[in-house]
Amino acid sequence: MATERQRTAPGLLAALHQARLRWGNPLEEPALAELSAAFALPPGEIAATASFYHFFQTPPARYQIHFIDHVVDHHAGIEALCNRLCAAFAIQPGERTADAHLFVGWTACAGLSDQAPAAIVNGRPLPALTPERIDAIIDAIRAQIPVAEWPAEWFAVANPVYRRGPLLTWLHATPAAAVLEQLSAREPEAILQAVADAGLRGRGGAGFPTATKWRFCRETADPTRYLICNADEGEPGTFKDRLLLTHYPDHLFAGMTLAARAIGAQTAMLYLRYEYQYLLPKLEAARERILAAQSQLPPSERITLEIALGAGAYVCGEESALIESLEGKPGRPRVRPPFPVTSGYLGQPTVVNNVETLVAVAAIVGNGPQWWRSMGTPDSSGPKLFCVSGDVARPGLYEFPYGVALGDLITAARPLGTPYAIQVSGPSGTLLPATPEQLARPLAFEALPCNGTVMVFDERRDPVAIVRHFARFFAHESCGFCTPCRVGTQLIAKTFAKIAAGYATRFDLERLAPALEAMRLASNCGFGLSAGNPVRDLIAYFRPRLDAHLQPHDFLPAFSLDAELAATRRLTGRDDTHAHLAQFEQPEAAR
Amino acid sequence: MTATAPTTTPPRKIRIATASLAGCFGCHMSFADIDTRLLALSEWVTFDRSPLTDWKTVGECDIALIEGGVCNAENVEVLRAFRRAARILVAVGACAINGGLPAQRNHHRVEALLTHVFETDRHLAPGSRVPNDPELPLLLEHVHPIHEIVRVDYYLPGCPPTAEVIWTFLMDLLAGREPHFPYPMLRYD
Ligand SMILES: Cc1cc2nc3c(=O)[nH]c(=O)nc-3n(C[C@H](O)[C@H](O)[C@H](O)COP(=O)(O)O)c2cc1C
Ligand code: SF4
Ligand code: SF4
Repeated sequence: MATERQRTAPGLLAALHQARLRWGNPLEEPALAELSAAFALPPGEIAATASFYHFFQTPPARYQIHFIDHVVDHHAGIEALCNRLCAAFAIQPGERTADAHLFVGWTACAGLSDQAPAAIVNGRPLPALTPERIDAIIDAIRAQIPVAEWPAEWFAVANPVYRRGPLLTWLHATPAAAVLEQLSAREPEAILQAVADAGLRGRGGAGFPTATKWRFCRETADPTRYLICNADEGEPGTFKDRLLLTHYPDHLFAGMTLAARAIGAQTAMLYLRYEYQYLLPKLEAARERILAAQSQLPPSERITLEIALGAGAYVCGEESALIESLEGKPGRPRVRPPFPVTSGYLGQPTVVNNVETLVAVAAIVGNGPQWWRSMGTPDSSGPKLFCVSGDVARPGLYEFPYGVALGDLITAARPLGTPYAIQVSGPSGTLLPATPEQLARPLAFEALPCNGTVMVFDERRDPVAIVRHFARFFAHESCGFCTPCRVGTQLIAKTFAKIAAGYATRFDLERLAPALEAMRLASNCGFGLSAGNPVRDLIAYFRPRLDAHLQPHDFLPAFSLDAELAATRRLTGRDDTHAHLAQFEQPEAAR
Repeated sequence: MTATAPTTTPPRKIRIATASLAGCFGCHMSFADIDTRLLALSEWVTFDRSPLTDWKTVGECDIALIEGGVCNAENVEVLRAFRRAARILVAVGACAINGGLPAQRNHHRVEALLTHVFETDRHLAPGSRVPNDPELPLLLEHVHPIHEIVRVDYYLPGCPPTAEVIWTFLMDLLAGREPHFPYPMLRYD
């Protein structure tokens, strides 16, 4: 039975970016009326869509600075830097100066974990901040120097690679032109077979066999199909795709073209996260080159290549949310099935693949499946890019074959102190103690799954505080569509705020347990499923550290009772003993 | 009706305390709605501090029935005293459970409310001020359900809970059974 499809507005996201530049945020009447006419949607619906995206919320200001609210940046002192800038203009984070020149706020990890502490100004990255750099930025703002005229080195994002393997060596050695030659060489079935023989599995995290996904899509009856490259790279701590987008965009577009051909798609789209928009000129140039290279092909075989820019939503990395976003809607994961391979972009069969997956496709077509299979484990074939950050001397990129021991990867990055806790695969993954047993585990889908992200924390760090950062991240990024996740992520964040305030007891953890269970079992997408993982691991592996934060009392209020009397104390001018309340009572046993 | 009284007299009379915090006394009235069964109850239990007794401070007891949310400093002190004194503390009625209707004041600033009622209302005598005598407990910024201040063992929903719920609950506890409320007894309104 055919169901009525929701309205789509492809191009709305791009139009919102345009409108923001012209009219400022949040969008108001004249802009909404114009967009409403252009997209045949009521103004309220356009406003509602815009309101979903973090970077469409920022109040208009000549300088919009977002500091990175990510655990690694906090360990690198981001809070002091943010305060330094705010103090200079007498504002608080989240506020704008009275003259509306400057807005300062926070944002989630922007794919700069190796260059913490960092910030974003008007969409451009400000990596490796220091107090001196902040002072220079303060001067530049005071002197009203446009961001475009700030020194280029302030924006220079390095992509340090500390270990090259066959993949990066091939990428480095193979000029884009050689990659282009592959384009005319292959039949769809041959490309698909090569990827199947290589045993390639998705590099976006889930590890779904790429050829299987492609075949599902290819076997649909609908001839109009899409390929989407997922360059949302939102998982905190992840920056592996950034290297590929920066240095090997031709290889990526070649991979997209090959994949599109393999599934019989006419259009391939790159969905780029907002924070990587500084890469747009490079990506556009690569796109043009690959389009030009296709001109030798008969028109029916040419693949249209498009680039779309996100606007700040981690959940848009989830493939159906990404599709919704491309369709000009809030990035809320769809109710599946149907899966994108049967009904994706505009209801057509669609394959979503990660950047690294599609670069691997180009490498596999270039070198043959045997070359790929000769690396990694039987279940997790091929080389893998790992991005290591945190308390290490060499934060950056490492190519290892899948199956490398967690400890070997960390050793290569030269830990600063003795590693204490390791976050594998970002907050959605696993938080592990750095015991010999854990460090010996191989990184592979069949052992310890990893999207490539490893964050190292040494003994200076408190695992409870680390989990609190992740809890806040999930609470902020939940799309709010389904109950267990919308509410549950808030409950976790509140529990950790209570812990941080020193008011939490054992009972608070007991009361959280059913919510964690509901999130794990009843969430609509992988986000809610994994948002409880950090607490789960904290309880499983770091229980004594967690218990050390808990008060011996049976129960304590989550808020300061005395602070709740402040308003009426002020109003009545009282300060007698009855105008105050104690927070702590004597614990049961002490009475 | 549904619940049965203890078949034998307990060795010691069960001690019950009751309190109204930011309540309307409606939950106590619903308790009184068990009607002549109150007479039977008085055979089995003794009342400690309660609006129905003259005890001024709460003493060690088995069950504390609390109606009303927590809206001022005195509510906090009383609630804590009842928690310390009672083995089983029960949130009775919508107010104790989730703040109830009084929690609608959480949409407003408490200073604005007090000023509105005691200073700017046009029916007040000139010069009226917000009361500031230390005798009076200060209002908290928000109204809270009691479980945000102390641990709660049981909840009796309803505004107020029906007399049947209150009776069933007490009979279950007296007989040492885990309280059970059949669906037709349940209400939140
Ligand atoms: C909350 C959430 C966030 C995700 N973020 C990303 C992301 O940033 N990049 C990515 O490639 N995949 C991400 N994924 C996985 C995608 O949904 C999808 O599985 C992947 O892009 C498929 O590509 P692959 O098969 O090549 O790995 C995310 C999934 C979820 C549930
Ligand atoms: S699990 Fe979370 S992110 Fe996923 S659909 Fe539900 S609310 Fe949205
Ligand atoms: S729950 Fe209803 S009846 Fe009970 S105290 Fe509150 S308002 Fe009164």
